[in-house]
Amino acid sequence: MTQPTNGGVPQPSHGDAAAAGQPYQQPAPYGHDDYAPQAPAEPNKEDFKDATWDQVKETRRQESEAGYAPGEAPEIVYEEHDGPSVIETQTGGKDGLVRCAKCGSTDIGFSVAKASLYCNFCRFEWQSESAVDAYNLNTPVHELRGIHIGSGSAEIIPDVSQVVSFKCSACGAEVVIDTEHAMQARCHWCRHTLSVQEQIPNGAVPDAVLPFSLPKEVAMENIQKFVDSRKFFALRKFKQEFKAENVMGVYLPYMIVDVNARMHLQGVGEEEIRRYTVGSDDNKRTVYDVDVYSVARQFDVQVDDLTLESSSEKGNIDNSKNTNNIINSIMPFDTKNIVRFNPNYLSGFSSQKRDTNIDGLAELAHLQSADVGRHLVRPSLKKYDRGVRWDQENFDVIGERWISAYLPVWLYSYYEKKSNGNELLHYIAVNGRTGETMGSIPVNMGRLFAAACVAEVFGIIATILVW
Amino acid sequence: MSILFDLATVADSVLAVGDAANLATSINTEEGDGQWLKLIFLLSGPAYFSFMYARYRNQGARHYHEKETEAQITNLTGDDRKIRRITGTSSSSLSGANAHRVRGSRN
Repeated sequence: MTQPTNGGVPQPSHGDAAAAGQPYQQPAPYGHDDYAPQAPAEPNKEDFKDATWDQVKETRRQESEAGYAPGEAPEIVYEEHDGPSVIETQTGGKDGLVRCAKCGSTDIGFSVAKASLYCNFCRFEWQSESAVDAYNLNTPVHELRGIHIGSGSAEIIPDVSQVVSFKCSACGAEVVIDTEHAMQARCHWCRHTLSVQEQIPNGAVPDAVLPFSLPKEVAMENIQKFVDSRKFFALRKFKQEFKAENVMGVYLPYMIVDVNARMHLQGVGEEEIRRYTVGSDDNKRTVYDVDVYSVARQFDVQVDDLTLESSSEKGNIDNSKNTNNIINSIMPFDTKNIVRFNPNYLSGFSSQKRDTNIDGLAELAHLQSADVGRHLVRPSLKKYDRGVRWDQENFDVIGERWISAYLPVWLYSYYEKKSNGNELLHYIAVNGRTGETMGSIPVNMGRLFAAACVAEVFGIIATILVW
Repeated sequence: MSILFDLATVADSVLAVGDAANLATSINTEEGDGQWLKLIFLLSGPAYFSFMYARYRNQGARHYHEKETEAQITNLTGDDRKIRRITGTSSSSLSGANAHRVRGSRN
């Protein structure tokens, strides 16, 4: 993205300083002791040595229209950018066989309990390098300038096939992997495991992965507890069919975003001075005396690891049509522990590919970052006990960093087909790192309605008793 | 176990209704202005339905990004100027107050 320097304001350079190649110095404010007005620089006669009269007139006209005296017109210098800077996150590995570093076997598994990869052949264990360290993602957010994106977060090109086919380098057989749902496949001839790990612009290979650390047994326990505490009004068919062991481990695609921004808020706040009751016995009412203030706040906000769904299906949260809000609610993840992408972390789990580009998420990221800023500035508004209304808001992004990652979710799903023909997919989700659990349980509406009627009867009795 | 829990919830609701009745009576006695409050018990059924439905379906559940995201603000400057005083307004809060509003929620 081409941006002018100095946070969006073109930086002018004047007269002699510009000619000497020195940066423009902002003079001290008017009225300040140190401020001494400088005489306007004289036009450089050499500039017009060989100029025609028409050229001189044209220069004068341009200067006049720009509002500057002759010779004062600033030369506007824009810093050149080639676009967002790319954080190279390619692991260097090729599609195909990913071998154990010790024995060369391709039969590699992932141990959730130990959070490590292991060779099924020689039992060698290892872990991928921290992505935060490897890609230098721990630089302070307040130092971010411009846009930085991981190479695995690049724009998805629609024509790039989701299906990757390559030759098995062990036996030469043609192997096909549908990256929509899997990143590994076994060669049907020699039984070697083949992996996709080259970043191609179809969103399948992210910059990083956060491996599961919560074992399936714990996820099952959490889900069982969640359902047990909500069985009385649950749909009978759901209760009959529910089996916690059907929970699935899924890596879902997310964007992890750091935002460094400048925020300005302008509005009105009200402080209650006193309250008192006015009117006669039958017409009493409380009234208030209030001081009204013009309120402004300006600050820098640094948002670290804002996490956004980058699957258009999971990011589409509509309570009337789906229960994707359940998956959204189990955030946040401990994203500081992401590691360099290795397809073997996906071994034994399913995955969903990213299908949303940064352009499609930038507005949401900025809205959420502004929410964070407004939330953090609230302690400075305690005086205004009747509330604050922001009438004007500016949110200027100074720098941002985007990293795509697979994050781990234990997911139980139940497909409800209602009597009116409508269908709804209910999720119960467990954060694959923190264990945070949330779910949607299909409701037996008849039973709940009957119980509500009983409560209503009690309410009517209570009304009669106190009337 | 769950049945016991949910029946206990019904019982709690009924007890809460009783407590509210006592409150309404005391308000009525002390200020003579609590008559309307007694009608609130007529909402017991819809309130119970809404509470239990929300507890099962969790339609309002979401990631509270504004609170749960690691962040900080720096270089905070402010400008607060008193504009005027309003006396005797019957409004209990600022009209259009939006400092708590969240705009980037996905649901």
